[in-house]
Amino acid sequence: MKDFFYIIIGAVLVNNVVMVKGLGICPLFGQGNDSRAVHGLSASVLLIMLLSTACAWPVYRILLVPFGIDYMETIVFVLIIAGLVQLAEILIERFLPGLRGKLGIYLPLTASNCAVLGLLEQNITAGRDLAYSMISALGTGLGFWLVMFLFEGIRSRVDAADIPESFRGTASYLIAASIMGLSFMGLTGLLDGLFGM
Amino acid sequence: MIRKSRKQIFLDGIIFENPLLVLAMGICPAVSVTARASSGLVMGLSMLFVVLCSNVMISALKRIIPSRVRIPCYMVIIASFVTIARYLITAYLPAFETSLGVYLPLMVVNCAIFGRAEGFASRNSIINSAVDGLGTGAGYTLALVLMGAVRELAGSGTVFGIPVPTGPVKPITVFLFTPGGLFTLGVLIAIARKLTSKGPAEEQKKICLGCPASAACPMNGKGGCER
Repeated sequence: MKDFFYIIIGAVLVNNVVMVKGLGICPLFGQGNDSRAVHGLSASVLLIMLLSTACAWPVYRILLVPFGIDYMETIVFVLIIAGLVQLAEILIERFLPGLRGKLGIYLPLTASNCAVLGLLEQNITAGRDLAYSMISALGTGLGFWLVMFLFEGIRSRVDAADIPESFRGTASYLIAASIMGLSFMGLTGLLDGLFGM
Repeated sequence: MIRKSRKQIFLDGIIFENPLLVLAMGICPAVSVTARASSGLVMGLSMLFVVLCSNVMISALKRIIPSRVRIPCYMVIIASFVTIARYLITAYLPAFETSLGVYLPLMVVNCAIFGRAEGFASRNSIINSAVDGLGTGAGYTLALVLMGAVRELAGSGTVFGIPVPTGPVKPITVFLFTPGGLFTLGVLIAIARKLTSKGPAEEQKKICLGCPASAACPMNGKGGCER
């Protein structure tokens, strides 16, 4: 149980996928202004992260490594993600039509999200076991969700502010995100303090 | 579509449609690998290689690839060249393999590359696509080197590893981390927008063109996911 919280808190707060590792920054600036879009996209990313880790881990360990073709990892991971996104879309359409508006329309965007591919590249090839990889995927997805949610609030304030013409839009979002990133850097020693490791 | 001369296509990629500073595409690797100017240069050159090769390949295969499955086809083509670039760097520049790390394979989902495949190579001749790839890659490389130089100077007082006298100003270490990258990129984009005087509206149109999901996205052509 201690390990579980260690991995989760590490992935959500200390090594946050967006603010510390710098992956999946584009959706911060690209998503709609309403919080429904933010939660829809973040939930899709979390779902695809879990599913793709569950698929890519055995494929990498059972197919790629024993046959010495682990240099194919990038191509295989991209195809796994794209296939799972398609599959999840079809399944939601077929069995959970109520979720379509909330989740389904954001699923295609996760296929091109570098946080998902980055998670697979860092997690699967690091030689951890399946349980660790799954918990880490959960933590990474939650960390993404947290940053998306927090930044959505900041964005609406930035949009309302009167800023110079050339700084409007992406430039001001980047600077706002940078200030937010500074506050995440302050959490660096959190794990040592909590777990004494 | 207005036909442009090859020189114009090349210059557009570098200046007026600079993928990073004007179109704001491919932000993630730019923010993360440019702590030093030299790693920005290597990252930019591998982008140049990938976007050039994939543009040529996609342009050559544009009549063969069925439009319904073009997105996965482009992904496989781009991923193949990304793998080649990654292993070339592992073999010849092993020092950069660790500093670029996960961002090399992540070129697969870089919208700057995908945007050129979808928006240019899939409907232009092979030579024009090659010129466009060269221009886009060179523009991205220049932007990364510029960012890397600014961050390296501010963060450790050197440029390409050569110490630069900064007077009484002490190096600001935070410029070497992700927040410093976000800040530098934000300021550079604002400067580039001031110089090329392109408004946010222009940028939004381009984002949809470059988004791999635009084919399936319900917001495509309606102002994009910005709205």
